[in-house]
Amino acid sequence: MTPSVEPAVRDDSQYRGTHSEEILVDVKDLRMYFPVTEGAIISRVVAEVKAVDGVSFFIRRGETLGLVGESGCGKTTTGRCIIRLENPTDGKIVFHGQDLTELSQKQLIEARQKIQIIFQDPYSSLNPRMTIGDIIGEPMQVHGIIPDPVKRNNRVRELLTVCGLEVGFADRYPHEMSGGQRQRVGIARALAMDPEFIICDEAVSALDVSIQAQVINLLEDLREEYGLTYLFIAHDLSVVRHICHRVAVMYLGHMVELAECDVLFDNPMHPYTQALLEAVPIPDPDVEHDREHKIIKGEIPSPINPPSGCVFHPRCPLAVGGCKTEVPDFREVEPGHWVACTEV
Amino acid sequence: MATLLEIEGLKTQFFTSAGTVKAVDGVSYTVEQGETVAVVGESGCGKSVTALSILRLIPWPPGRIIDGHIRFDNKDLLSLDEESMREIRGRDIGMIFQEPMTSLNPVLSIGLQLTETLVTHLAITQEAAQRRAVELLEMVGISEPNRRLKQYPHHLSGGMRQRVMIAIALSCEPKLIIADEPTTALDVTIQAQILELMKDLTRKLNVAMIIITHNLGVVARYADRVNVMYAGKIIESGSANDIYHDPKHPYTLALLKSIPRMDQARQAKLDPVEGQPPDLTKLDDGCAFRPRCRYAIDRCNADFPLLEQVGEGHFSACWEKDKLDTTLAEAS
Repeated sequence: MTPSVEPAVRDDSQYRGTHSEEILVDVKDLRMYFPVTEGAIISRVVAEVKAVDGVSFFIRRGETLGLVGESGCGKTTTGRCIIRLENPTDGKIVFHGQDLTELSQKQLIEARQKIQIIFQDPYSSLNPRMTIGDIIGEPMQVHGIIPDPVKRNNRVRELLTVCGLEVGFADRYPHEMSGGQRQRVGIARALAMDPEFIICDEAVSALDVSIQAQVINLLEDLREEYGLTYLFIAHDLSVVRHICHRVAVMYLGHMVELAECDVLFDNPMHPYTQALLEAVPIPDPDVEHDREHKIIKGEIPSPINPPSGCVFHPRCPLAVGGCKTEVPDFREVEPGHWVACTEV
Repeated sequence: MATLLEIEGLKTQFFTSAGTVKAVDGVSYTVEQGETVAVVGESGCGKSVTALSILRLIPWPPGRIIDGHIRFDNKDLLSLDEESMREIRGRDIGMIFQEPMTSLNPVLSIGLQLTETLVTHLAITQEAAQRRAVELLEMVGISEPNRRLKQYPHHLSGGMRQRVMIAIALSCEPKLIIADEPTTALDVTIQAQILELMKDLTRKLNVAMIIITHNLGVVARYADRVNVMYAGKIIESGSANDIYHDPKHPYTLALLKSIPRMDQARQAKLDPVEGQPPDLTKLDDGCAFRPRCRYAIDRCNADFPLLEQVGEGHFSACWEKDKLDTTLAEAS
């Protein structure tokens, strides 16, 4: 099931930047099951965690696709599967016409140069024993992009400047930097490979709001300047609305809704998306005062033993008898707007 | 309304090898009975240290309250002996911390942790405490309370653990609850459940609450009054409406301009404050925000501006407070 290409018309495209119609990344029916084992000496598989269970979406060149959902919904695993940090159980990931799931280790190394990832925690994703210059320069050395150390150093300095850091940071260590500065180093390291596609996995979530805004602006500037494509994985819906062209919502390993950014936020159709948006407090006391606070009941079930039928049915206000047995199709209810719910 | 808590000129410092960290540097505010007061600010601004100072939980060494008064319910908390302070903690002042995994003891059952507080503070029998514990768990929306009492923290989800923390905080009918980032570790639908529960219970039981958070949305939804902190000082204080619709300090204004709005279509780019928060060991006499401030004048270098009234119940510590351009980039 591949979503058809819909021309995206946006009034505010001048702000978010433009993107082409070319599909750069096409994920088809992706599945990632992690085995749960028991026994210390003779271990056997007793269950499976269905972290990602049949997810399909595509990303156009120059576009930012937001991937949102709560903990355990599979958004991070999806990102890790695309860059093959996990080996997916099933499904296809087509990048530049090449299925990444079928590549050998050697081919993968080459393909990965064009795909980079920025992690959430700027404290644990940088090696504390390496200087900033070595951290940014290492990928260029490993991939043999710039073998000459002097030229590589110059490139490191250039990347530091691009990411808003002083060139003097090249000789310093991660512990000498603040969280925001470290995240800029993570971005510079991703840019070192001259990538086309960057997976931002909660890239601004650990930062204070004033620093977060600086990094969001940097990511937007870089997208414009280098024509980058982002998969923006986040749980902060306000940030997602600001930066993304389209947004996909996941729940318990399934994609429940996907639409143009403003369509999703102004006219959410899936009951889970509605509940999620309802739960986010808006920084305006007047808006909050007038808002009806419909609070969704219950907690997210375990992905080891997910509910039958539609995984959302135990918490769903619209659930009918059929939801318990029938897995809803992820269908296009209006052009470019996909929803997995039979009651919409 | 009567004043329940009054903090005056509080200074808490940490004496470290890197120098003296002025974590809280002359903070004053009050909390009325039954009122919800928010303390907002970014990491390291001193919001949590202020709360720990109220409870006198600053570890020595390296930290110490060096000046100020804290009056709670007509008692001067800073002059009480340790024994009387222990009677106040958990009985008159309840606490809810950010991380429900680390603030509950992993090797004690939920029941024991709940009844321990009750038996210690209320001098009731174990049976009575057990009955009260069941009531409390029901009150915070935990199903099958009798079974839950026998369980351990690792059996519960993050949201459930935070409900247990709320039950413990409310168990002795406190007059004040201090909630330090109570929902930061939780998912957004669970955050909404927990905050709604806290609001309902504090209103119903007429408990005052200090909610410490960096989330401006949470503040807008739940707080009656707001104190904004920066580098150990309160730089603006007022009603939630004052702070959001008529900010009178450049830092508050900058914070509001840094956050995108989920309820509005995207407009211009974000307009963040440049630079980093200051090093708290190197503060001088001037305004700590001036290196990042667009409105800074010469006077800001030498003179720290005091909180001055700018409207009814609205205070700001800025020399240029009347000259701010408060048209927010994303105002509705």
